[in-house]
Amino acid sequence: MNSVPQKKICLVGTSAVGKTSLVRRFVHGLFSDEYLTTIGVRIDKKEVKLPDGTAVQLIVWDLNGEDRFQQLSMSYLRGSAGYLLVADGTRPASIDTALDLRRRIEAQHGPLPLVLLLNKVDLSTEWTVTDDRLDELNAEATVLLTSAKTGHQVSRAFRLLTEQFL
Amino acid sequence: MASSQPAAPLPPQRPAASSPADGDGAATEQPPGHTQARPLAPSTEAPPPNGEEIDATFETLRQVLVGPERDALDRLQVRFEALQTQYDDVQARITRVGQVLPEAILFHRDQDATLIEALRPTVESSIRHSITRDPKPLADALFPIMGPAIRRAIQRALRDLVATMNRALEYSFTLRGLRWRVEAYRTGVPLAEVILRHTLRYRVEQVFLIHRSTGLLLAHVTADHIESMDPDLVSGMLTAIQSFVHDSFGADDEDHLESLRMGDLTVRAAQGPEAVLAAVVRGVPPPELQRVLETALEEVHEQLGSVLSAFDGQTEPFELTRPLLEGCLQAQYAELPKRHGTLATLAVLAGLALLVIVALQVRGHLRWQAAVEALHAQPGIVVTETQRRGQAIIEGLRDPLSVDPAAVLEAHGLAPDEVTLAWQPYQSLEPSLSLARAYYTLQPPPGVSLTLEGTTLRATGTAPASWVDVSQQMARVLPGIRAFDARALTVGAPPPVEP
Repeated sequence: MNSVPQKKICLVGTSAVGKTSLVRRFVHGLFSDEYLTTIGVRIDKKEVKLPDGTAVQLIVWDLNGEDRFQQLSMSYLRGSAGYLLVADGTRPASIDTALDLRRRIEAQHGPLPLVLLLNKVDLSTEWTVTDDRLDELNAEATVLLTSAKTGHQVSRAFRLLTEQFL
Repeated sequence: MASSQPAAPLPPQRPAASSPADGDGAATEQPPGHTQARPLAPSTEAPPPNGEEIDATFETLRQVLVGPERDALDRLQVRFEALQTQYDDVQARITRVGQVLPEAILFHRDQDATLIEALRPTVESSIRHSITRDPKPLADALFPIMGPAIRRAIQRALRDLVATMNRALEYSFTLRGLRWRVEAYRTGVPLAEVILRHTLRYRVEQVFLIHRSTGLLLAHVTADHIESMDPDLVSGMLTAIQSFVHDSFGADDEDHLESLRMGDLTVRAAQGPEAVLAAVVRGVPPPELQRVLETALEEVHEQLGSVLSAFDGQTEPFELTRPLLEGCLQAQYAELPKRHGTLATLAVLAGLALLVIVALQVRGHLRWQAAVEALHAQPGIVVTETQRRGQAIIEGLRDPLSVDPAAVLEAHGLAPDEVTLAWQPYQSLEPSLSLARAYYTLQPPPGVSLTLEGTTLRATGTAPASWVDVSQQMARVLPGIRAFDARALTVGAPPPVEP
């Protein structure tokens, strides 16, 4: 018997950036415009196959978005192999919150593999991230522009993160 | 290889290092060579030496300059040859490898899993080969383990089956049992399961072995007939809840969530340094359960401590913990209340009574039929109608000379007063009755006997002539008789009647 190894990953970011939608798109292939705030944690799982044939079972912890009502509990990230740092490309403040979250996570758990996702790339008219800003962010972490609505680069984001910690 | 050390540093240190630098044991023999070198200088003023002397001088010089190195080389050579011999000697090599192999394996096993991975294919194919060639040795070796394990598994399955059946039977005849039957029908849950839930004190339905820091599921077992949602996700959520409670209420690091309760379900958790053992319990778990979980978790740490601390997402090694986890799937059921016993007994008695009644009915019917058939078979009796319900009646035709019907019924176990008999008289032409009628009508004197052959009545013996005459006349008018044959009769006085 050769079982697939399991890894825990987390999705963090401020509220309403699309963390739950990204997981829903990735795990169930679904999208809904309806917004439901996550309280605490939602857990899902999905097997990822890398191009070299390696398979990993991802246990995905979709953490609540941090805002003035809810603070992210750092202990949820304990034992995590890596995380997706999610921001909303139409809300510049969400990127700053994401970078702040990253600093707090690293202070508590040390440097962990991460991929920064600028979500909602389908909303091109409201997009605020300039190429210069993108270059700055690229210097700090691996950045992907994603859309949970269209599925653009969603699977790739999870695969990229998996490759980082394997 | 310590002997090679002095060789390298020697040349540059020549003057100073001559003796103190040669730490090697063999090098301590060198000082005489060096001391000889010093008197050489004055001797250069002597007359020119001949060839032999030069050779000797060079030899001495060589001895002084490279002597230690040559000796070291010689020693190395000797050592190398010895090693070469040892290496070429296969037996010796085997002995040497054999001496260090166990320690090497032990050492490597603790380092990582590569050795296990390297040995696995060989071990697997060896086992496969051994089984293909002759399965008996392996079967014999495994028997002491497999035998009890299989026995235990079968015992457990049978015990569960018997317990479920017992409960089902015990509750079958009660009002409550009926109610549960209705509930089972309504909810679509099997009756055994409904009974189980109602009579349950507690039952451990699922056990999760969870890696503490990642919340990943290491192993999971469930009781029979229990369906669980994705245990990987449950494991994660239990860990998240643990973190949530911990963070929200600012507990100490040493404090842990031990119990969660919702309705009839309780989650009990035992915490270890690397893993958590959580049990989902239906009903009210006893305090001892915590001890059971802790003991099992201690054993998991004892068996797989190093695997746990080096856990990298591979859950395969934790299959080994299944028996330990299954040991935690405990259950206890309520004793049966007494009144179920009385009701059940009554029901059984009623059933028995019913059975007896039916048996009696059947027996009575069979007896009646036999009696009626026997009556009908009698010569001179024709049964035309019978009725058994209410007052039993038998109607028909009866020759007055036939047997008594009441006697026939009595012989078949029917009392004469049980049955009303209604007979119409008639004369039967059955030979036995025709003969009886002849006796009745002709009244033969003693010593005369009558027989009937076809329709001819034959008389034998001695009779007075008057009787013969009268009989000749009367016999022919009797139904079923056409002729009277008196040829075998002796006419005379009848024999005297014996007193």
